[in-house]
Amino acid sequence: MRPLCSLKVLDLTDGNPYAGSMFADYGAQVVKIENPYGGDSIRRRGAADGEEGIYQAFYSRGKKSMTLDIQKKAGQDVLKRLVPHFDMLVVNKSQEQMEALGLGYESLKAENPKLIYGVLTPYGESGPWKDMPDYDLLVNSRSGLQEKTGFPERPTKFGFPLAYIYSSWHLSAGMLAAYLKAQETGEGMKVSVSVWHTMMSLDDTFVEGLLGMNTLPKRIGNGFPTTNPTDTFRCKDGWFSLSIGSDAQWISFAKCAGKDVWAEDPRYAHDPARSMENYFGDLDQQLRDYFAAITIEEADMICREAMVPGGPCNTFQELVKDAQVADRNMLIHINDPKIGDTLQIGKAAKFTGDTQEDNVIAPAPALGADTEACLKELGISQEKMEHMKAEGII
Amino acid sequence: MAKWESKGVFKGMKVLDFTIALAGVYTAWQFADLGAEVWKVERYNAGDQARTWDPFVNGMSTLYCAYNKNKQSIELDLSSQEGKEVIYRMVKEADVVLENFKSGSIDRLGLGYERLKEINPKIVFMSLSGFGASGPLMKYPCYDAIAAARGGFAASNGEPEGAPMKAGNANCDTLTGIYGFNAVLMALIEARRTGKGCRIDVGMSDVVMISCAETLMDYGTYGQAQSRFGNHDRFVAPYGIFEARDGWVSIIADSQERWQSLKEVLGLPDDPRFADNAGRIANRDALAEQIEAVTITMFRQEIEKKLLAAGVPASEVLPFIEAYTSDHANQTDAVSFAWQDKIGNIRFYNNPIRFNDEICPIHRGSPLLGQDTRNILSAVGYSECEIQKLIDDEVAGEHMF
Repeated sequence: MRPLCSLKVLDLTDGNPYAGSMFADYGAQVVKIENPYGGDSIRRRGAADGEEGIYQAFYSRGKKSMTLDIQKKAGQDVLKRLVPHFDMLVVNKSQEQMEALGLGYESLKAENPKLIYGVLTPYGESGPWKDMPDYDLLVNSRSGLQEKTGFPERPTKFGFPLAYIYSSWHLSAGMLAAYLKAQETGEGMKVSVSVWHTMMSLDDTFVEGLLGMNTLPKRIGNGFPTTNPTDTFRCKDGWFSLSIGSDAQWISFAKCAGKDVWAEDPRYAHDPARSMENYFGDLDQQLRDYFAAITIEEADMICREAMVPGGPCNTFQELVKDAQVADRNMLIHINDPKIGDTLQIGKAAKFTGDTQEDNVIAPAPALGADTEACLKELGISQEKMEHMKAEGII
Repeated sequence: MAKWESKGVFKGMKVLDFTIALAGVYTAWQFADLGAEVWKVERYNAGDQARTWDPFVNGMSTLYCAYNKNKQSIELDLSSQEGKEVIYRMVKEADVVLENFKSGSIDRLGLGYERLKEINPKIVFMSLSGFGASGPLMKYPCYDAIAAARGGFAASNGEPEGAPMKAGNANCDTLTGIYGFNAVLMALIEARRTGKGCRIDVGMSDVVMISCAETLMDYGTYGQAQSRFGNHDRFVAPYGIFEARDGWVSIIADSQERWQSLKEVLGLPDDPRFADNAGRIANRDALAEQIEAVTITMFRQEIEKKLLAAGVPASEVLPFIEAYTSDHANQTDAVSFAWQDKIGNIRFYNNPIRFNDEICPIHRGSPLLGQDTRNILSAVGYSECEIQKLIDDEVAGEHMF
């Protein structure tokens, strides 16, 4: 199903493609507005100077690209002419910056009263941190989550832009909610999300821990403060994750693992006796030794037999061979005109009646590939376009 | 409690919510924050299992409180025919059904999509589970840490030779919750257009595969790749986390100019290995060591201040409590006080989504078990007398714990 097939989105984001991708993956017509001097910075991710990297083939898939210099008055005028033809606009600049270009919410609302105007900013549009630099790692660093992730010796940086993904998905949801509302009222809305506020709010656990236990969160690696054992162990041939949620699960695991003593010894049989102090001491080492002597597959079979949560720490190498991933259509081929056939992540939401057709996503556009078509739809003549090209507006 | 009137974007929307624990509960939480009436159906005399999770204040799980604000609780015995009849009446009024039982359980209860759509064809029904509703892993249990492992999330973080690392909270649950929220809204848009609802199936381990987006493309393009790159970016150096005298600091010098400024501020020696980005990437470890030798002698706040003044992006790695009590948190409506039964006035985070610059109000804390049983039954057409009978027959309850 392509549930968003009736939706048209102007995507003005730079370096943060996730909200636009949520719309594009599910069938919306998403037109990226890119500057004519190299476009969205995401195009250069992982590339040598002046070149394009491979990742934009994922980040911009299913979208269209139009170049437009919105720093120039003529570019701003074109954008205002585009706005009535679209349902949504999404940008990762503050209102202050957009108003300076004459493209703030109030100005564009005048062009299209039903417009949903989505704004993603690192720290919101007010407060002492509002002008702090906008990088996923830095925003995450100010949220508490970065400090809490990793082994006690040192925090672990995330290998992907977690904060941007989270907050973009909050923004896309807020915009879809506002769109539903606008269909009833005929009135659009500004929807805004702060990346930092998102990272704070998704983790009420910290606050409630503070309230309930009078303790601050600790950095405990792959552990979990209230259910044990939750940890990652090195097997003969790789890493395995175990996450025991109750005494019953633990006892079932111990029996299937052939370790009756873990189920019977009162030091281990019950949480919280089987918790932090004990677990990170004696039992921890026993578990390490146990897993070190078996393979990932053996560990997996034990957990399946015991019906307890456990599984291998898959990398892309395992994912491409994984029967579950294949069954779920979570890897799809996209034929990118520049890099050829690429393997990409599929769509995670499955709707009734989905067919293989619904897993087809158009490749990422070349910079400005759709500029002429978009301008033509506005009734801008070829001659005018040549003029705009010469002026560096498109 | 006086009848509350929603002013949110979802005013008038009703969500029939069977979710427990966290992932699906997070989706329902979004609906509740944005002003929908969320009818949380809880097991008779037991409730959501999160009610039994540590820690407690006055017998109330604070984790349950965190995840269920703005919702209403109806306590029902779903194994009884009368209990199912209540659900069938509720479905008539509802726009959305959410559930995250083990795959297939809701069908066996007679409350699956196929049954409910006969009553209300416009219903949007989302099943959220660890591995989704198909495939060889479908029937196996899954918690946050296992979705992180199976979906490649954990393997994307950490030192290449060290252990994979999950996030320091239940991130895969909430990430799936917000993805599922998007999917339900899409289906509602489609239902308005076509007059027909649908069933949505979302699996945690599928959603978190987004963490492998780039490494999978490396593999697809070059036939080989590395899954994780430690505490420093793979394309730009320096770009990562460094030790300070009193904690940690994140530093990014993503241009030659910023690298020069960084060198000046920290007083780094000239080293031909680090002359350009390519050299700095090739010698990432040596570079990190050289930078850390200086940062470890300075306080994190001091490093941040000096680097920002010189135009180098940087941030202290704030412990949670410093972020939570920061001036920025206090001055930007990050939290609100709301009344929580059994505990008192406590601070909740406001939802990060703002509409026309306004926060979504928190109108109540999390409900006690069955606190809204009578109101909800009455709203779907039961008379006082019928309600009393359901309660006397132990089909509906108001145990209020």
